[in-house]
Order: sequence, then structure tokens, then C-alpha cells
Amino acid sequence: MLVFGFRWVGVLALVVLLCACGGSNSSEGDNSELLPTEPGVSPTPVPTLEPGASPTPLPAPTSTPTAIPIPLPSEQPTPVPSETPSPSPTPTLAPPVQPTPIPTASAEPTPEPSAPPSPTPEPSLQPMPSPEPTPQPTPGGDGESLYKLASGSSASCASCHAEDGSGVAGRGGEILNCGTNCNSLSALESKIALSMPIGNAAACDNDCAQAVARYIWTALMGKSLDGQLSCDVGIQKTSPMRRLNKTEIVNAVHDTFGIGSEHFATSLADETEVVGGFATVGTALTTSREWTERYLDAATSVAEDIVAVGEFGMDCSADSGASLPFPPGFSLDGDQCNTTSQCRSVFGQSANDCANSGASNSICMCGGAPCADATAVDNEACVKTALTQSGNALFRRPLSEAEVNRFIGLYTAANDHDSGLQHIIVALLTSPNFLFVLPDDERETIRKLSDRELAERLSLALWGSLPDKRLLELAASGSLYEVLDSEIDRMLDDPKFDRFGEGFVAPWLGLGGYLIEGSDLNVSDEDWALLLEDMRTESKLFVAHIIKNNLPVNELYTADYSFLNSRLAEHYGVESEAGESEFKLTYFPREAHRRGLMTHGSVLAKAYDGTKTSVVKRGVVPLEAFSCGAPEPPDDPEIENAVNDQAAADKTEKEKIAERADPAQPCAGCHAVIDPVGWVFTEFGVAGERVAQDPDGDPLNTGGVLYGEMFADAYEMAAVIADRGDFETCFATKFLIHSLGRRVDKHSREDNCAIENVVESVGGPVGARDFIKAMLQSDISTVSGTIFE
Amino acid sequence: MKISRRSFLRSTTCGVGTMVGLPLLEVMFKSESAFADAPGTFPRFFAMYVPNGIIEEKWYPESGTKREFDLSGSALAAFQERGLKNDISLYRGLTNECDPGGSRGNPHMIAISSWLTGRALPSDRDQMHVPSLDQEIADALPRTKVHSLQLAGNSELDRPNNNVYFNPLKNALNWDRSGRLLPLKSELRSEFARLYAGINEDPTSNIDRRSALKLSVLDDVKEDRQRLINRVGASDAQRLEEYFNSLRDLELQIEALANNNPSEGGQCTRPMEEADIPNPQNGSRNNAIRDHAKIAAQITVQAFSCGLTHAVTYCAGGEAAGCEYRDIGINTHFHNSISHNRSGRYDQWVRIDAFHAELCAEFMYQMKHTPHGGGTLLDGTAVLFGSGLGNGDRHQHTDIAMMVGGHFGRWQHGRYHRFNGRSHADVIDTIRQEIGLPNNYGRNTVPIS
Repeated sequence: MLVFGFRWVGVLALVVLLCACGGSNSSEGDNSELLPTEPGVSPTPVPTLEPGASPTPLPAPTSTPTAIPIPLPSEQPTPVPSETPSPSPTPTLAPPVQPTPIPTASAEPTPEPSAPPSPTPEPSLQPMPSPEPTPQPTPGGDGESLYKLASGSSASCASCHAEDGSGVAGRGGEILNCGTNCNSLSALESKIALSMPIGNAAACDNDCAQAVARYIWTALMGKSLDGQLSCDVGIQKTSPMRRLNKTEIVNAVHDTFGIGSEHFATSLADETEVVGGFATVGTALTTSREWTERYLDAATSVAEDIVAVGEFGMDCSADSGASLPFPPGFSLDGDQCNTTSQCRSVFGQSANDCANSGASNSICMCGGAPCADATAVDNEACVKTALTQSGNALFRRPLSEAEVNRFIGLYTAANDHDSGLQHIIVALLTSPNFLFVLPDDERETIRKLSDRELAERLSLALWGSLPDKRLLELAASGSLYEVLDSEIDRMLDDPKFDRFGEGFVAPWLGLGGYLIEGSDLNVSDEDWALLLEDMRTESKLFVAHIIKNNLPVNELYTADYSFLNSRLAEHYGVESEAGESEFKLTYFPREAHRRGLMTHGSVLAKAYDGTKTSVVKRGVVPLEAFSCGAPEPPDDPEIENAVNDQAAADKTEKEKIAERADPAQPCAGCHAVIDPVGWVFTEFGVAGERVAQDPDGDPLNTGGVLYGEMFADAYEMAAVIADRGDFETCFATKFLIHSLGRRVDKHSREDNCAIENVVESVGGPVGARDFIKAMLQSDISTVSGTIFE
Repeated sequence: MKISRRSFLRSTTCGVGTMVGLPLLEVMFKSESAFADAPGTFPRFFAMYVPNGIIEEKWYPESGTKREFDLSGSALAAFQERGLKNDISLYRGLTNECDPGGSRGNPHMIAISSWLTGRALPSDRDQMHVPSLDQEIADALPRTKVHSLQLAGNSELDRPNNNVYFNPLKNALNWDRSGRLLPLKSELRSEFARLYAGINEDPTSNIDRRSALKLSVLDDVKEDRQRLINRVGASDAQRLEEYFNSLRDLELQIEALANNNPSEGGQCTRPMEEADIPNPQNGSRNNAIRDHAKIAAQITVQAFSCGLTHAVTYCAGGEAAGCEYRDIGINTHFHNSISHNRSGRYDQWVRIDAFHAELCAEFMYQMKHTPHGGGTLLDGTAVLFGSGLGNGDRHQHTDIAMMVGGHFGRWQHGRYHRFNGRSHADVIDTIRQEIGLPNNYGRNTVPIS
């Protein structure tokens, strides 16, 4: 039995206080149910603690400051004064707060803190009293005192990490060398705000985290604050050079030639190595031997198709001379033909008659003159024209003369005209000038992107393809920046923007890798495939709608409508007049509780693991994708084993949630946010359809508490998350990873500041369209630094 | 190292007699060797991997001494039943190198990524590693028509259901010469087509029109290399280099095909109809892998026979992926429902282990019954069979499954070696030594007799 100081009691008591404050009010002491069943009472899945309970021996903490168990003391803790402060849930980018609706007065540091006030001996879920939604002041004080002294009822940092930051064996790790967590002041701040102190992550938020981080940074690590504080670091980073990804290659071929792209679509593997979920980051887009072999083979097939159909060099008809195999009986001087089509087979399309075809001396006529006399079409010039037309588009710049000569050389060295054309196409497609997004130079200075580089960035980001003629013209004349705003508008209105759904929305939401099969929904596999495709379309159309119509970014999550066809409407259980192939804007009735992307079938279906829907995953998905606030999964093998044990255990979901909320275990720090979010969706089944029972088979009760606010259903929960204001920044982060092709991280001061600058530049609530335009025109998109990210 | 003439001849075709005394490496991998183009002279490599761990106490026979043991009742019974007991050696009690080597991250990913490389990946976020054993062997040998095959029964890639910033790829078995991950292929028919492309199509020409076009283009594209690499920065240049290297590789491969007219040798005829070959889409789930593996065995054996390739791996399934083993009447996700419910699904898991062993035994059986040179295809082929995890339920990397087979170097078989936590990398590096690869990272070798 571990005996720890009162500070530990304090922490756990605080937590107990947070969750058990209702205990003295309610008379539910004997309630052995884990969730109250009265309607209208929102439960929190947080149990009260049994005072004096012996803890299960927890594993020794590792040196990483993530998983430090907090053992319960064995002795009876001293009673707590009732006015114990709790940390405030101020809306920021930072961490989830324990449900703490206790109104408090002042923040008095109490070194001898609390015992659970509730006398109830059994763990049970108590309903929370009406929460105090207004934010509370964070514990005050300078960084040093925050670090060294227990503040509020929390343990002090020093109690685990030692006063000099060197760590305490068995308690907290050394914080002087904490790896990426201390790369920058803002990273340190984020880490503290997000997960410290263990078990009560919200205790030190915002100002507290800032102050403590600064103290650690300066006093303990001895580093300077220079360059860490201001938001005028400018742009230092740049994106790694990358190749075009599979989608972009397919689109490029389609846009340039109109045909043949399906060979790439079928032969190339889907990009699986993605960073941040998006296949635009160069470090992950490789060209292994395997990949290159497939690529070259597909390119050869593409070229065959293009030439066979005549989409390249169409008017470059063959020589009218002696290089052709003449049909039997044909002689240049004598009888040339019997029919016009014979003439065409020799002289090409320009032949339009076989004159005197009845006689033994018929001549092929081209226009008004004998074909044999006609000047041969200048093959080379014609081919050159086709080459430069396609080559300039594929290379995004005019071909140099040397390049043109090389390609013509390939053409003339080939066996015949068609083969020569194929050679050219394959050479164009295999050239790094096509396949890679080449920077203008070595990126050794911080500079603006050139017009051409910017044109490429815009067209790849918005269209998933190569710049069109107009963009290339503007780039060539150096006037793209002047008309940047209207160009982006044009691109958003262009039909090619339809591809944005596949290029951005699909990776952002993760519209792949579903483990559901038809049998899980009692339908055939084909029907499920159709439904899934409809769900994907719904999400893509929805996001495109918000963007194109410049609706607020938050509406992505608070919209009470979506785009449904008849199949989806039936699946969701709402009325619709749409047919099977049309997706109409359909409003949801309030009682459907559906709201925004979080209740899209495509998103809800992701949490199915093959046998059941995971409540935890339903919580993590929106937190990760939409508010960028998902805690990192625990790294500790002991915790993994505990997770497996729980997963295999024969308990109800509600019991498991209660276990995870147990503040004696480190789970609660993260699961206090994940689980209420995941649980609110239990009224939606495996693929987002309405169900009548919760996963345990009990009547539905989807309510919960998040960031100190209660909600009864998904509709209300969406508002709670939206109020925190994380969505815009998170959306910006995701969009920027996609369009810049590099890691964009809110832990990075530079990225953080750059996004803040964008938000400030639009000033106030902004529509999604304006937001995207602002992002693409701001420094983060137009300036290239020297640090490869 | 001294090589007895007998074991040397066992691993080569006859006629190499004058070369006795030289290390295998010299004989085998000098491209000036007169045997450079003769199929069958070179060692071959086959590996099979099973994911999600094993029921370790049932995998090996419970009792037995180093030279006397009975496989019936263990998962490996199939090897005994098919007469392969003296062609294999068991290595029990090994720990996957990822643990002592300090890999961090997803236990599935770090397990599979170190299994065939014998080196621990520092973190599951790393996208580069060292070459795996099969790739090293293929790279050391003269170029074959197809460099190597990375087959999989179930090539489904485990995907996270939330957008984590980086999904550690759990199909990470094979790593190429530049340390890049190679994808697993379950499209057996497509791989077959690669092996036999151009064969029997036009016996009069050495090289078909498409290949001639490719060679012409590949020759031209080299002109851009220096200029582009000079233009970009160093880290960008690496990616361009990778592309140009791949192109060069391709050029050499096509040239090799052009110079090596298969119709002269006469051995390489298509062994079966393409239509009979299963072709589950790469990356999709394949729930029934028995037929797939049997046909893969036939294809492997034929490819080895006529030298189309020398290195084949067969991954039963990617880590954490979910083949349902419907061939043996199990209808549930291997990873999600079975491997993390060990007590509840114990019997099913034992049957899955035995099933995997059957599949590997099939590969070896077919090799053993294919005459080659003076012996069979098993002479000169190194076989490796095992798992990256031990107790997969607890994600432990101790007590993994490991079996070496085939006759190469001085390896003696019919042995049951037991260890207590020795790193499995020692086995990998011993194979490297016995095959004659230059780089074995200086590790200790395990007993091979």
C-alpha cells in the first residue's frame, strides 16, 4: 500500500469533489444503477469514490510524463472545506475539463485538502447539479509559485517533477529533457494545458499553463524567451518537394488528354503512406521500384489509348509518300484505287475521292488535286505543335527548345508515326517535370512563391489537378498575385472544384476503411456498398455547399440540414422527396437530433470495429477531425493491457464508461471528454440509423456533460463543442496540411501564429469561402521558408 | 568459414566443383561467374509470416530434446505429417528484436517491421528502415525478370477509425534496398502476369514493342537527372534520386529480360491458366486464404524453378487485420474478435495456428517434390516461418514463433532449439551469414546444428 502525502489526497479529493458534489444532495445513495433512469436528468458517467478504498496496485510510472497513476491513500482523509476552488473551463484550444460545475468563490491554496464529502459508500453515478457555465478564474500566481505550490486542490508540479525539474523516481519524469514537448515554449504550454496535472488536466489551463511553462522554460531549463513569445516569427518552414499523388495523376491525364486516365486509376496503388491523413506530403509520396514499374507500365497503356483514339497529334496525318505499305495493285504511276476508302487508307483523311475509279487508271484525289502530288503534311512541325501543347500543360511551363528537340528525337527514332507519338506521351508522363511538383530553387532563402509555384499550389489544392490555361497565362505574365482573389473565386466556381470532395473531404473525414458488412445491417453487401457511396456523396456535397455559399465554418457542425437522396432519407428516417440519384437539401426535424458532420452516416459508421460500434471511437473521431482536440492514445503497454482487459471483460458499456471515468486511474483525464461525446451518439446505430436501445440494450439516455455544460442529445452537444471555438482553427489546420503538403501543427508557434493571422485578417466570424480565400492568400500559403517540415 | 563440399553441392547445381573453397558469397554473387544466367545456381529465399501472435504453448511440442521431438499435437503437426520434419529446425523462446532494440509505438507495427529485417525500427512513425532479408538476397543476386514477390493471403491494411496524424502501417513486412516499405500483394493473378509477361507470346522476338518503347524512354529521361538534382535542395534531391534510381532499376530489369531469351532455356512455360488464379484486390480483406496459398505455392515453385525470381514472401495477413479463416469454419475478425479474446477464443486460435502451419508446409512440400539441379528445390532455398508477436492478446513480443527450413549453407535440420529470451535477430543474421550476405550487423549467431 503506497502512502502518499496529503497532496495526493488533495488531487483525488478534488476530483471526487468534482464528480461527487451532487452526492450530498441526492438521495441516490443506494442506487446501484450506473445511470439514473429518470428522464431529464443528465448523468455524468463519473462515479463517486469510496473513501478508504484500497487501490489496485498500479504499475510504476515510466519516465514519460504521461501515465502516472494516482494511488488512493489508505487512511481516512480529513474533511474538506466546502469552498474548494475548481479550475475553470475557459474556452481555448486546450484541454478537456473535468465536469466541474461547482460555483466557487476565491482560489485559496489549501495544502491540506479534501475528502469526499459524500458519505455514500458505493460507487455510483450521480446526477450533477445545475452546472455553472460561466468560466472560472484560473488559479492565480506567478509561474514559480504555481509550479512549486499546490494550487487549488491540485498537487504541485514540484511534487512529481521535483523543484529543479529533474523528476522524482516513481512519480514524475524529468522535464528538462522532454523531447518534442519542449521543442518550443508553445509546445510546452500546450502539453501542460492539455494533460497536466495527471488526472486533472484542466487544473492548469490558459494563463496557468502559460505561466508555468514560462517558469520552466526560463528558470528550470535556462532558456531565453526570445523568439518564443511574439507572433511575428513570420514563415520559416517550407514544404518538402513531392510527387503528384494518384488522384492528381489521374486528373492531370484526364484534363490534358481526355482519355486514358483509367489505366492509372486501376494500376497505381492508393496512397497509403499519408501524413496527417492527406496524401499531399512529399515525405510520404515515394517512388519505389515497384511503384515506378506500375507507373511506367500504365503510362505505356495510356499512350496507346490516346494515340489510338487520335487525341494527340490528330491532324498529323501520315506522309503521302513511299514509307507506307501500299495495298496490292497500288502503284503511284498507275491504277491507285478502286474506292475512296482505299485512298484514305493510303493518304489519310485528306483523300476524298478515287477519281476514274471505273477505269484502270484511277487516281486518289485530295481536295482538287491528286494526292500523290500533294505536299506531305510537315509531320515534324505538326508533331511539335501537339508536343508543345500537351507538354506545356503537363510541365506547367513552356518546354525549352532542348527539351522539344529531345522529344522529337524520340519520335523520329521510333518505328512509325503512331509509335513515335506514343514515345512522346510516355516520355512526357515519366518526366520528373510532370510527376513532381518542382520548386524553383533550393529553398535556401525565405521568399514568396513564384507565380508558377503558386498556380500549382492552388490548382492542386482546389482541383486536385494541373493549372489550366488561364492560370498558366497569368503565371507566365507574372500577374497572378494581382488578381489572386478573383482567381481563387473563379477556381471555386469552376466545375473542377467538384473534385475537392475526393481530394480534401474524403481524407479529412477518413471516408474509407469501413469495417461494416451488409450482414451487420441486415442488407446485402451490394446494398451496403450503395448506401456507403451515398453517404460519402452526402458529406462531400455538404462541405462543398458550405464552402461555395460562404456559410460560416461552424455551420459544418451545426447545420440542421444535409443533402439526402431517397436511400439516405430512408436510412436516416426522415421525409424526403428526392429520388435515388438526386441529393436534395433536406432539413432534419429537431427530434431527429441530427446536426452537421458529426451525425453524418459516413462519420458515425467509422467506429464499427467488426463486431460492435466503439463508443470511444465515436468520441475520438469528431474530436480529432473537427476540433483537433483528441488526446493522444496512451503509449504505455500496461495501459494497453488494461484497455484490452476492459474490452474483453463481460461488462456493460455503461459500466466500462464508469470505470474509465474513475479518477483513481489515469483514464479519466482524457475519457472525461471522449466518452460523453461518444455516448451521445448511441441513439445512432452501426451506420448512423436510428435505434431504440443503447448498446447495452437499455432504453436510450444520451445526455452528458462536456466542458461544464450539460446536453441531452447530439443536437445540443454540437452547440457545446461549437461554443468553444476550436472548429475554425482546426479546419484551417486540416486545410493547410492538404494544400501546403506539410505538417501543420497547433503546437508549432509559427503555424499557430500564421493561422491566427489569417483569422485576424478576416476579422470576426467568417464564411468558409472567405476563410479559404484568406488562407490561400496569406503568408503561410504564399511564402516559402527554409526549414523543411 | 570452411564449407564441406557436400553441403556446398547441396546448395548449388552440379558443375561448380572447381569453386569449392571460396566463400559462398564469391561464387554466388560475382556477376562474372559463368553461372550468372543459369537458373538454379543461386540460393532462393521463402518466408511466411503470421500476424497477431500465436498460442505459444501449443505452437511447439511441449516436450522433446534437441534432436528427438514429436510434432503431433502441436500447431506444427502438418510438417511432420508431410514428411518435412528433417527439413526444418525449431527455435523456441525467442524475443522479437523490436523489444531489446527499443522500438516504440504500436506493438503490431514494430513487431512486423523488425521480423524480416532483424532490426528494431526506432518508432512506428518512421517511414524508413533497413532492407529486409528477402530484399537483400534479391539485390545480391543477378537481376531476375521479377525482382521479388511480396505476397499476402490477406493484404487488408488495418486502418484507424479516426484520423490519427500518422497511421503506423501494419503491413510492414518487406523493406526495400533504400529502406522504403513495400506493399503486400494479394492480387495473385496480377503477380503471375508479371512473372510470365511476354513468355509464349512471340517466341521469335527477344523483346516486345512495349518494352522497347520503355527502354527508349528510360534512356532519355536520364538526361534530366543531373540538372534537376542540382536545382533542388538536398532533402528534395533525395526524393528525385529515389525516382531516378527506380527508373534505372527498371531499365536494367527490362534489359535483362531482353538479353535472356526464355524460349532458349525452355523451362519457363506458364504453369497454369490465369483465370484459375484468385485475385483479391490489394488492400482488401480476403477471408479464405487456403486456395490462395496453395496456388501461391505452385506459382512460387514454378518461378523458383525457372529462375524468374529468387525471393518470395507470403504474409498470411497484415498485423491487426482481420482475415476470418472461413476455410476452417471460423467467421470472425482475427484481430478484433479473436486475438484480444484469448481465453474466450482459445480453441479457435489454436486451429488458426495449425492452419497457418499447414499453408507453410504446403509451400515446403511442393518445393521438396520439385526436382532441381541434383536435388530438389528445397536444396538451396532458405525458408523462414514464424510470427512477430508471441502472446498477441497481451501484445507481447516474447516467445515468438520461429522456424527455419530448407537446405543452405551448413544448416542442419531436425532440431528443436530452446532459448530464454534470445533476440530473434540472431536467427536472421545467422541466415544472412549462411547464405553469404555481407552485412549481418555483427550479431551472435544461433546454433544451426
